[in-house]
Amino acid sequence: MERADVIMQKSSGEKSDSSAKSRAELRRRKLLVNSEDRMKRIIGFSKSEANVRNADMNMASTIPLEPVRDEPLSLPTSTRVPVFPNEADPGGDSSGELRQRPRGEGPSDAAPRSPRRGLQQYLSRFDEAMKLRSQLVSEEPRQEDGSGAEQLDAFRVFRLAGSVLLALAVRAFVCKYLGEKKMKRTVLTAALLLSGIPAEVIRRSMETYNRMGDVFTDLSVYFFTFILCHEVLGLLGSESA
Amino acid sequence: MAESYAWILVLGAVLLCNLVKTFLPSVSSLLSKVLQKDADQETQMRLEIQSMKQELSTISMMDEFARYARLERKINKMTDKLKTHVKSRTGQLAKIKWMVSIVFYILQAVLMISLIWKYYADPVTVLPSKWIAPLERLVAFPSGVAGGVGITCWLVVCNKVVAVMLQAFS
Repeated sequence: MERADVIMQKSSGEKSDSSAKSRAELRRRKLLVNSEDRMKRIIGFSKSEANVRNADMNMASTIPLEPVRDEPLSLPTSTRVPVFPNEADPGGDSSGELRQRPRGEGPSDAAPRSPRRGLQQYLSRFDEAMKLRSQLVSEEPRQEDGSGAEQLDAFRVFRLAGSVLLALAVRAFVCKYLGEKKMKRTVLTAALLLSGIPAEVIRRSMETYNRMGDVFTDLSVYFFTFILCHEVLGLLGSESA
Repeated sequence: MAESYAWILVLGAVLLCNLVKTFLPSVSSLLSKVLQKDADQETQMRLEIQSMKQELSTISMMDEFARYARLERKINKMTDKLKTHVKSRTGQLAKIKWMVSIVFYILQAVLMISLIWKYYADPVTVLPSKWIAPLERLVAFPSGVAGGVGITCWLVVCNKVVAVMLQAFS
């Protein structure tokens, strides 16, 4: 009897596993089928939803100072496109200010938006696009070849070594050619001393400011060299092709 | 999406602005030489003062006091006239330098604004987005393209790099 119970439990367990697997498979297929629609919904939107949203926005009398999220971040249904007035509405106002309006909205319907809200919407739209992209990439069947994996690893090591060498070269260049810095802050230092700030605090603040400037310089030169090399290699590659 | 040579265009504009900025004092002095046509008068006055001083050194104060005093008064008068002339010239030169600087900064601002206007929605170049993580959002601003390099970031980087290069090679 006990053995029969164990067998029955095992079979029910197996059945539940197989049903879970089949449900997962159905969900996966559903995601693959609807991926394009979802992408369109994130990047574009339908007119009816835009009109509903405009009606809601127009009813609000004040714009809140703090960013308020009324809806979850998944799938915003409208997009805001930063547009200059001259580009968007030829007959519109000439204030020269940057406005953000939904794509389906006409020039006369554009309501003034807080820049912080526009930035929030831009960030949320960017997040959703990145999430969808990662989802699509993870759902595609991966074709793993032995040779491809080996090349990828070698390329990664090469890229890492190249980045380290480039960073060292940038630092060496900056140290060699920009080592001597002229101190032109005597007036500022004197003013700060007269204000009652201790000299040690001033010295440390100046040092911190200099270090931050060095870091920013290194980062800028590194990034510039990186992009320059990328573009030059791209040009050479296209010419050879 | 991104124009092929947008990054070169922006880099060239920044380089041009920085080069013109380094040559601004030369441009100002050249303009002042063209606009101020009484520079010859100043050199003539200096030569005259120099010759009178040489003549004064040959006259003995004991023997020819009157002539000595007359010449000395002439030298002092000419020196005061020269000082007034130099003062007005330097004032004009400072005005010219100021005007040239203002015109340059206005042109630079117009150029930068037009570049930003042109490439506001398009990135100047596009990289694989994972290469610049986790700063991809900041770098892509304001184009919003994943992996793209926005105009503001590229302008800041180019300005810094060009300033560093010019400082290193000057």
